[in-house]
Amino acid sequence: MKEPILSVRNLRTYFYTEDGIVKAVDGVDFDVFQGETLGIVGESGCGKSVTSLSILRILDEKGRIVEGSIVFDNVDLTKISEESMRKIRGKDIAMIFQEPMVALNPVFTIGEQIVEAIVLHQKVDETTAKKMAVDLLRKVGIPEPEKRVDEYPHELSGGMRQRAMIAMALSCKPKILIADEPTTALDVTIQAQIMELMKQLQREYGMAIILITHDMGVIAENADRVVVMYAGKAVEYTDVKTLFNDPKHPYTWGLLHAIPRLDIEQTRLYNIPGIVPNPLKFPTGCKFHPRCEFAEEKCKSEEPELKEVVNGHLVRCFFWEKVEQAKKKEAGDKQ
Amino acid sequence: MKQPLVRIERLIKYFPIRAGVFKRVVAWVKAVDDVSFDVFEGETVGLVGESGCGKTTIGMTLLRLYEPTSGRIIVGEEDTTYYFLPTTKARSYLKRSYTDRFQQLLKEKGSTDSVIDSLQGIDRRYAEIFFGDAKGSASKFLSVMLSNMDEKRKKFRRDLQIVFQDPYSSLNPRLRVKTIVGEGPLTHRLVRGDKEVVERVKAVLEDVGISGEYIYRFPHEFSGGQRQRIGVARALALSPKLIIADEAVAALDVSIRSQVINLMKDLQKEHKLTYLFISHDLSVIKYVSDRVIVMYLGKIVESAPKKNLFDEPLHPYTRALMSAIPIPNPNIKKERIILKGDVPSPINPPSGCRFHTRCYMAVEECSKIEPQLREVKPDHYVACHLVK
Repeated sequence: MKEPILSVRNLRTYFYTEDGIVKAVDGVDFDVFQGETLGIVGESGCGKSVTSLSILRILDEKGRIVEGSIVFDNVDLTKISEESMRKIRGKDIAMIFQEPMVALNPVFTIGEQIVEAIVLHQKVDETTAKKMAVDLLRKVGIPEPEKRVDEYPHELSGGMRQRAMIAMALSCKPKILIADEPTTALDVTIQAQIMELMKQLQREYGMAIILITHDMGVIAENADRVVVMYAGKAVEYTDVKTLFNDPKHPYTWGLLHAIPRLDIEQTRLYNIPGIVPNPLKFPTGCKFHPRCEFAEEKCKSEEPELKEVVNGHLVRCFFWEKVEQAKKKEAGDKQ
Repeated sequence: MKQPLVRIERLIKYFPIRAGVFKRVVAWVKAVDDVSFDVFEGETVGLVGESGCGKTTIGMTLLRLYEPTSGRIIVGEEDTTYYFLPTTKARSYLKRSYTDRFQQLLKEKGSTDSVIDSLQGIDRRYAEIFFGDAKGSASKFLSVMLSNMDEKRKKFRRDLQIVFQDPYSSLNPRLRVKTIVGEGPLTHRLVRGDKEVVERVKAVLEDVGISGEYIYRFPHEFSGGQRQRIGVARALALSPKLIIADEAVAALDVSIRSQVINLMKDLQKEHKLTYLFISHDLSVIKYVSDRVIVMYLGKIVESAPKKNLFDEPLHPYTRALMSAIPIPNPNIKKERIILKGDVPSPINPPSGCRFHTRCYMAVEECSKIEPQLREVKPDHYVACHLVK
């Protein structure tokens, strides 16, 4: 049995705002293995980004991890001091963001920003660090890296900026790379370039990737294992093939039928009724019950646990078997 | 031959780049460069391409939120290109496009009948007015064409509506839903008096799945999906002929997006609407469109009925674009065409075929000669030298 390099258990991160407690993450479990990609998928406000910020402990002052553990290298990251955390951040666990223009500092050159990261975590002088920066830029496919290293972020295109971000994140050969919607702001042809680059670098460095996205297509093509989140909770967790071939949570099932697809003919998209709930006013019981076509009385009052229903397939639903019946019916309709 | 609801002919839109103390024009952004297409009644035309391809500019120019640099925009039986120009410019446009041309043709052909016979569509109709009612007099023709401009503009505004991408910035936060949706019908005198406004607004809101009780609410009291429904209601309130949906579902969450797409399809059936659906997302385009136009750097590279385009994409760019879309099915391992580099700047587009710098099939010819859009199969148009 492989040992995970990162284990998140029952993570709960709350924000104490003036309007009340926002339970942004309220029960998330997953493991990350070396060389693998874990996908976290969900709609806006489901807590997927806060999960990653919690791992790196870069929440804003209102946010606090109130429960759970994040074990990396036999150390619980929720328990260690800020100083020890700083040694892990950027070195062992690095992160890239959705908007490279916001994440990069506009008043420093690309080179200066990469050099800073290298010098901070490795015992090298600035000249060596600069050389390393040029090599990294070349590695991530930036043309003329010797010239680009002295350019400012605004001088690069969106795709090139994201490449520069990746170069910076890789500068200390992290064990885990967290990519939060890394291609959402990019055009599809550029998205394809960046995802290809990440895969290639993952093979080369053997690092694990935590890929956060709302795009089921990106998940299907890049993740090995997937957590589906809804209203702060992990609702389904399994390997990627099982998730797409045999989704068991009503939300996952509905979501997969609600997306327009290139690979199949669709006469009508499935409607998940209602709206994504406001984190200040999450419903009682199962958070998905007001939008769920399989919900019963029990779902309104009682909250289901994330349980293993089949080997390695975790689902947070009392009535997941109803989805099985719906799938059977659907298969029947097709014939 | 079916008459198109909207015909765009050789549309060009360049934006000037000004610099220096005197704000001299130093370069042009060639956002849309010689684009022609028709939209027929009741259909959905999907306009797809990546950022900077000019798809939004086409929508904005069609609505005359931008004035075209050149080209014609014909709606129904009328050339609407001059509708929003100041009178002197409108005059010179009409002179250039019609009266001078008709007089020239008359010299060549000898008789008015043979001029009229040589023309088609709108040109023929205008020639009939020119030689008939206006008796070949330019000033009379111009006064016919320039009469009732207010009415013409109003009709244009009523017939063409738009739904924007961002449901947050496209609704005025200080206005109640009743005003946002009711303003159009009131201005166009489709309703009179408060009671009729309320009735009308309630009716369209219920059409888009929002309870009529909410008409006195402000936009911030609604979720993103509901706001987009209000945006659709605002367009619908004028019973338009064409709705331009500019990335109308791009900002919405997956579960909300399918609701709005389904709603728009239902409304189309119910109200016999025509859509020009602008999107960067090929999967959405495939689901909603009857006909698809693919653009790259201000040009149409391929256009075909949906089925033909998706079954057999012919242009290398269309094929790369399709292969780049991640498919939500881990069982499919498909061949991916990864394009090199970024989209070039529309200020200095590449010579010849604009796609040749990123094309994986390009030959020498491609960098020299610009390919024209040709019909290579029935109804399937492609601009590529290599497609036979």
